[in-house]
Amino acid sequence: MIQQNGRTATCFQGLLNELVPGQLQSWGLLDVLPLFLQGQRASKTRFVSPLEHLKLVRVPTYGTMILQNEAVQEPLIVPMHIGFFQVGAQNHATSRTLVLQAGETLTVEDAFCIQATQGGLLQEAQQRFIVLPLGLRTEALKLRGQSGYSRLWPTIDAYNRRYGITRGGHLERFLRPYFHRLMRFRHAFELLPEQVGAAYFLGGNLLGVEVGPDAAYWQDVGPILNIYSYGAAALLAERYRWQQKRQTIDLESVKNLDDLERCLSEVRQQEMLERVDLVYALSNLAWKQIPGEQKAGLQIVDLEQGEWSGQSVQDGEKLLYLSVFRDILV
Amino acid sequence: MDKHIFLRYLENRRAPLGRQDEAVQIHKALCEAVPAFYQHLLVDALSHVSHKREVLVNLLETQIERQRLLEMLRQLQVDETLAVLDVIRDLRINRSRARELVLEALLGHEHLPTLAAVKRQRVAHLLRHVLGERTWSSIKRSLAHETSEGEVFLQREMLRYAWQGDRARLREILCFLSGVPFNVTQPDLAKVLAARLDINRGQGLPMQTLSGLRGSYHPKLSFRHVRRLAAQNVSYTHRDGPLTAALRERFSGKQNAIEQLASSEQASDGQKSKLEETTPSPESDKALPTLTGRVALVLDLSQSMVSSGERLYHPAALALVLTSLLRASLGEMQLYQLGGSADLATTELPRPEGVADLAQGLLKAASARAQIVLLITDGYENFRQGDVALVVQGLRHAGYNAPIYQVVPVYAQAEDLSFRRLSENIPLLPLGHEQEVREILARILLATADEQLTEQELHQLQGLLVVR
Repeated sequence: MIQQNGRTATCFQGLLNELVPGQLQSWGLLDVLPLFLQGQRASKTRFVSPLEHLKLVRVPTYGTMILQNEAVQEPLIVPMHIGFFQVGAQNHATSRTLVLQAGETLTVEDAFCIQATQGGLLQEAQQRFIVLPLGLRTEALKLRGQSGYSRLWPTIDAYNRRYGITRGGHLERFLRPYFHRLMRFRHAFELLPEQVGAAYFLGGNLLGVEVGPDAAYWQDVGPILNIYSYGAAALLAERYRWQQKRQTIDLESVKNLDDLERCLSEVRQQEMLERVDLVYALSNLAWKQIPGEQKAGLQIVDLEQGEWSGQSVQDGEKLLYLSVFRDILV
Repeated sequence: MDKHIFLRYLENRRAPLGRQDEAVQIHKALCEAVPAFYQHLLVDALSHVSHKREVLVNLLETQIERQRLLEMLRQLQVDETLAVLDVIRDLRINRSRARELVLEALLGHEHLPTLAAVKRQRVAHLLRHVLGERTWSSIKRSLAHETSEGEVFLQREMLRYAWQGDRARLREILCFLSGVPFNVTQPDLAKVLAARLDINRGQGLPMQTLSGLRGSYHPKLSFRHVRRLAAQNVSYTHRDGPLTAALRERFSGKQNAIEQLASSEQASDGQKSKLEETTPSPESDKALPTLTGRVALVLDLSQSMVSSGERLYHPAALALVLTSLLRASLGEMQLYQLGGSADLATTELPRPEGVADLAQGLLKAASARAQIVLLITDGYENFRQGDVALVVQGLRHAGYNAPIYQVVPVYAQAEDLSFRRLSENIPLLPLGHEQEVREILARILLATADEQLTEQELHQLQGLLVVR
């Protein structure tokens, strides 16, 4: 595999068409394979970043969120399963990917309450958001399009119990005590220039693939996914005493520094190839693609394949946004 | 003098000293072998206060002049002075030399009123120990009932030590310490006395003092109320050095300005590095010595060195400043830059960006056969976590035994670095301020020196350790 500016020459086909992998990064049990667009494409597209332009107008009733795209001209792709937290109000999260046209205010009626016994409704805010932990996302996606603000509570309850936390549909009971450990995943993985997505591995197993429309979008959303979604999965795997399957070097056979350098390169290359092969295989699976909502000329597509599920946003044949994942810790 | 003893001291000095520690033996060895050097460790800027206390205990055994000890104690902060002198009471040291030192250092201190106000019990206990129970009682009696004999006694025992001969001030403080009624004029003492009646009038006093007042005079008051009144503990407030602060300012929000500056300067005839421009020459710093020796520095400028929140750009800025100061102080330094938007060897100031292959960087540095290798990094090894540890093992196996240090720019010394340690087999130096470049230079000096340090090297080492 030839490296060019931190990217490798292999281009995926199928679901991840036009994407190429970068240099594998590993920290603890979590590995991240950065994804880039093949060839030179503008690092900024017509889509704005949700961190800068997504505004939570309010939560009028439990389970309903009103969101607004503050950009005047550009549409906004709202990543799947984002959650808002406020003190003294019941925290909420979305159940699916959304597309907002420039300046549009959208009422989302299939949101979840993620804080069971807290009263109060979220107020207007333009603030940072989280993404639901990976362990909740499969179920959350299944429950999209339904009503009932409390429908994710049993899943949150079961999720918290995996961490030995008090019962109840309170996601903050997991996030608060573990926040300082989750934050490490923000700095542990480097965001690279031109990076538009990443494939995540846990203990060598492919866990999810996330792609944004451009590098600016990924610079904002990537760290949030690292911290709250995949970082949370890595913490749980640590708790379950998973071990990283890592190739090592037989130091007895090392004679000099050149030898050591060669051995290191070899094991890294081998590990990298194994991870890329997994993504390649995933990309070429026969995905069940169910077209959903169409908006601003964009198509939201539901994706299913065995234990994998997710959604994508496409502009014709071009993939703009993708989030596919599975929960291998259950 | 064997350099390994100094190395062991450097490794131990930041941690609290236990009485049975190996560090106690190191102190004894240093005191016996190089007493002239050892006395300066009393004002070692980075050592834990327990080490300074040990230095004082050992120095009290030597022939060092009391006046010399006093001069050095006065270089310490007032509360640190008390903490150091307190060892005399803790170890029950009863010697006229110790007694005189305490009386001169404490009673003759400019900030004694503040110290007495906030640490009343500790100051009083220390005075009572060095004077003895009977003398202390006589002093109390003389303060309470003015007689000519009493005045003579007070003058002889206490008042002659008064700061700038201000006997009235010292008398007032002694009354406060011994619980004798008096007319208060010192504002710090007045505040504490007022707080005894109404805790709200003690606003701005340290938390510890207010807690003591609460326990004795306002036991029903909530801790929350006391916390609200307490002064912010300034020792926890982070302050960047001037160079680090300037670089952080340049990085945050002014990235385009840096690029413009870089391009405009490249176009001009002055090919001076942006970092050199930000960083004054070491001559302007407090006399950093020029060291010789082959040093290799692996500098991590990956994206994670940006950090976030209040730490934004702190690791990268401090790492760059340390690099620049080291480069200016060292005759020969091989720099291996990992990540970054530009090459530090060129005239551009690099921003943290991309990934850092620390293991490969270490391998390259070792290949240059450096006498010491420094890895300046935040410790987030993500190319493949564990590879640095593997490379260190491999290097040792291949016979490369030069010291390797991981230098981590930290925002607060309390940061948990356990998950950022690259290898158990290399020491980790957490540095929070550009002044602490001296810590690295001391290690370089010791790594490149022969087994036995020369007088000149000892002098250089002293200069590196004691500048405050």
